[in-house]
Amino acid sequence: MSITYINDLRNGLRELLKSDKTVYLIGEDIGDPYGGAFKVTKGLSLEYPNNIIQTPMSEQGFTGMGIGMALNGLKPIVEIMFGDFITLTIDQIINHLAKFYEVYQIDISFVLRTPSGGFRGYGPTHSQSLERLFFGIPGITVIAPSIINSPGKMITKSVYCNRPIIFIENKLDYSKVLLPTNKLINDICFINPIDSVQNFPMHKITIPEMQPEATIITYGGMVPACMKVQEELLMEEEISTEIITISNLTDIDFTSLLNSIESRKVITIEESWEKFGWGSYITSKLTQSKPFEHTSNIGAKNCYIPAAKELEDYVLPTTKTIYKRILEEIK
Amino acid sequence: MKNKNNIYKSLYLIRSFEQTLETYFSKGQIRGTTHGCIGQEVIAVAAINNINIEQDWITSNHRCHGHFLAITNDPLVLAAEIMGKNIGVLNGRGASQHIRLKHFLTNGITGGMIPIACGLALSKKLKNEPGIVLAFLGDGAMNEGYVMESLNLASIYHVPILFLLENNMYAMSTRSANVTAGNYQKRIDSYDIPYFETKDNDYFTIKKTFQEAYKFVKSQTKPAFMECKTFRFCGHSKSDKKEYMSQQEIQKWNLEDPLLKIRKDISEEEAIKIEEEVKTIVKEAFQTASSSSPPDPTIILKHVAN
Repeated sequence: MSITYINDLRNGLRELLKSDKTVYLIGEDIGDPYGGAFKVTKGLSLEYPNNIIQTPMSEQGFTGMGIGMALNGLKPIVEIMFGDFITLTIDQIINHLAKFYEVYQIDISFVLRTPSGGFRGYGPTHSQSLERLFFGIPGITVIAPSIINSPGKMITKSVYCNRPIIFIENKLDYSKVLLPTNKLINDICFINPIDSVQNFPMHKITIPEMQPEATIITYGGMVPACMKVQEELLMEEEISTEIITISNLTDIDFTSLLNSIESRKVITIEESWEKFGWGSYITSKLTQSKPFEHTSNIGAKNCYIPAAKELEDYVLPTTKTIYKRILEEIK
Repeated sequence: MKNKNNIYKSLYLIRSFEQTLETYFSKGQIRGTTHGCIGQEVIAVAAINNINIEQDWITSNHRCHGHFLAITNDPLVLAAEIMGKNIGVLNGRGASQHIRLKHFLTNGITGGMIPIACGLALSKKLKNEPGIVLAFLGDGAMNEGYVMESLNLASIYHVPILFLLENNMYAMSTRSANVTAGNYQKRIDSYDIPYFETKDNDYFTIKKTFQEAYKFVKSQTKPAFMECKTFRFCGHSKSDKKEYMSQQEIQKWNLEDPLLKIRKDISEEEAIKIEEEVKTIVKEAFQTASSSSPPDPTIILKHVAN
């Protein structure tokens, strides 16, 4: 049965609220009738009014408030309306939450969820993928589902893993239908979980019976774009690629990742800036273990995310630019 | 009289601890930094003596030794923590300003514990738990954005929190009056939070007002704010020579040393006895801490995420 990403996520939240009275949703405009800026929490405040805390516009304050609730055994899920606004929470997350977990040795259930990404013409302060700000900060785990993970299941896992989680959604994914695993998709590819990875899965998207010429590693909102590129490369150039999607962006199982790469060329793709990016860390770690014929990192151009469609498409990695780059690099 | 002796002993423990710490730092025997509370001890002791230590949570800040000692009466684990020893409260992970012991939490970011204290208070309300949150803060923190956000949050959600402002009039070297618009009372009034105040840095005045404020928070399940005017006799941190304070001001406050006030009500003989006893306890705590083992570096691998 097909379900959209947003409905799956909302179902996950609803199930959490239903089964666990210590779960609280906290954030701006998350109550009904509005139901959140992207409508993720729509309806939930009518069903569970005591566990939805609608806040004033005080991101630093209510993020810290959530951390305090978590210290006393509650399970807050804090929504930050746009991923761009996580800058306001950073002191509470890095200097408080992460330190309580690691320095004070406190198990803590705290999830901050936020929608990341552009391609919607929202302009420079409403289009960024700022999860990068938390990469490499000890004590913080960054999780990003995509259309091939159930965001509902992943938010549940995040709540019960007893450590600080930043949960990154992608605005473009909300309306998309989740894809099934172990089933031929569009007569082209199969999606399979990489079995050895615990808890937050990695998946591999492969074209059956063809040796991949390149391996694309990506996460979150870039997965649909990469699948489109995979399809076009096959149809137009008869080039086979494999895609590996990662959902735990910061605690990566590099052994499993290495073992599942079947080509000699690795290309990472992320929506955020390529400069000092997530992908360059991945390829750097991979090449320290094993030589590859080719590695490269694709991401946004090194400038702000502009609003006009032509400008935004010029800066962000679109299917067109990804296709072109991959073709150039593996030919 | 017995009671006054005990109070003087608690106060003198903090003073003696901070003075000993200053000596160790000045001799280069301790790494890192520290923020002393000499002159402000009465607030810590008056407040902590009048809460329910089993039920209440206490959040503190960088200037936390007084609060910690008022709660625990244990100079050894604090000295050891500051010296980076394994028997320290957190095995030397945090030192002077990063302390956690059960329901007591401090941190090194000015004002940063205040939103968290509001969350703790909200959790107590949601869980129907008895007790309140006592949140210490300094005048420097009053100009941090998230402290102002927290006052609003505490007020709109009716959480049982008592904000206790230790106003020593200086945010590090900056005179708070020079960088603060309006006054604290007007700010607090505007959030519909009851405001309590003490002006004389006197144990018994603070105790009386604190009890009223505490009772309000507990019985009403609502926030209250208490401002205690005080004075820091020592520098902001270990290397601070207080060049920004006038000699007149320092002398004026020294004459009103809150410890001397209580000492006057105790016989000279008893006071000396208490002082000698406390000095010995503190001296031995520092010596024991100093000669104890450092932590094994592998403890770092415990309870880390990545």
